[in-house]
Amino acid sequence: MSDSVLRAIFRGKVYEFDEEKMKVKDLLKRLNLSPESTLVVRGDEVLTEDELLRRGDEVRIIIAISGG
Amino acid sequence: MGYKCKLCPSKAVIYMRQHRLALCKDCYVQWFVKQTQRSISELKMLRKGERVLVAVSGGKDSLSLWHVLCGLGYDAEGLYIDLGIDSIGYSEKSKMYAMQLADRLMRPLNIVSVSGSVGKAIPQLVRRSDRSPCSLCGLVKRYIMNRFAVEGGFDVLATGHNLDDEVSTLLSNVLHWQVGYLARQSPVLMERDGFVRRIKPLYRFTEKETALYALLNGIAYIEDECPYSVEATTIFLKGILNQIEERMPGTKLQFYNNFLVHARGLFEREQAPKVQLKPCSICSMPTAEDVCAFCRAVEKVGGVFSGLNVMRYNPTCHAEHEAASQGK
Repeated sequence: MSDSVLRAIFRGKVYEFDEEKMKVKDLLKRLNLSPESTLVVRGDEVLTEDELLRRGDEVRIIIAISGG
Repeated sequence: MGYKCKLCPSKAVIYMRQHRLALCKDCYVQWFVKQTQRSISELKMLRKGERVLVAVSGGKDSLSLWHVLCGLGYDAEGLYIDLGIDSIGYSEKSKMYAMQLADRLMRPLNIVSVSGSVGKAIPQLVRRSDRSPCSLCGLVKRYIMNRFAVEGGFDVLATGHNLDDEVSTLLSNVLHWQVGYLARQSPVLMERDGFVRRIKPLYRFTEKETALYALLNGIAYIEDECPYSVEATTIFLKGILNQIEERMPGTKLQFYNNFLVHARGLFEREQAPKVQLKPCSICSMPTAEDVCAFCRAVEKVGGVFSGLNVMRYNPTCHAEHEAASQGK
């Protein structure tokens, strides 16, 4: 896997970003997601909004919102 | 970078702005369990020794609730309602997650089939009904949950409603001034003739917080949205409320808590004299009308209620059965 991009996996789709580093909250903003309804996980580590992500990182975004 | 836990030197996994509280993995799980017990005790939801039925959908909230109640030492059985939603394998997948947790907790899971009980699954009922899918499904589920709890001799029915569920419902009820619904919206509805006590012990947690509890405890749950609720108004309202919360942290909790403290009682007193319950002329369950809403809805779509179709999944027997099969 290339470490030239930052990868975010969200609802089965992979989103790639070129930035060298980016805060979790900025990543969520780029994907138009609310920090109030999402969890961001890197490996087995759950990240808070202020955590810094770097190129080569791969994170999974879990949407907590549900309807019905 | 990132927050430190307020209670120990570890790295935080969540910062809850409404509480100004950052917690690490272990402290968060302990806090979640303590807060659940606090809600139960403060609102006198449940006493040790009472039999509680936990309605589990296979989602994060209800499975977390079952897990935390068992951890607190409550006598909790599960109830899974098989809605028969085939699209994306929704019902099968969600049932599997409920059974997985039953295995882990070693607690019985009661499975009620909608199609086995009324002759048609939810998709068939929805096609013939003029109600919205969520409204019809909610009506069917509430009826089955209460009826099963009454027939099974349970003292309490617990559901996994979280703060976001409660606040979005409250906003919807206020926007339409649904005074009857506002009178009954509460984390505890005490038992009365034909109705068991209904409790929502997770009502103070946001959806993100219940999802985190499930994740940290390795509780697998269905992440797919119900195919019928993707466009649901609830999701739209939750999005709006989260935008407000981002700008004004604590608004959701305050909105709901202040409703409970200052407003709900007024609606309840205003509505109480208007509601006189009597047995439904078809199924005998309590209703304010001659025929209850469930029987009316089932009749309208050509279904016939033939009693609850129940399968009891007992993890102990299942484990023994599995062991016997493997031994062959």
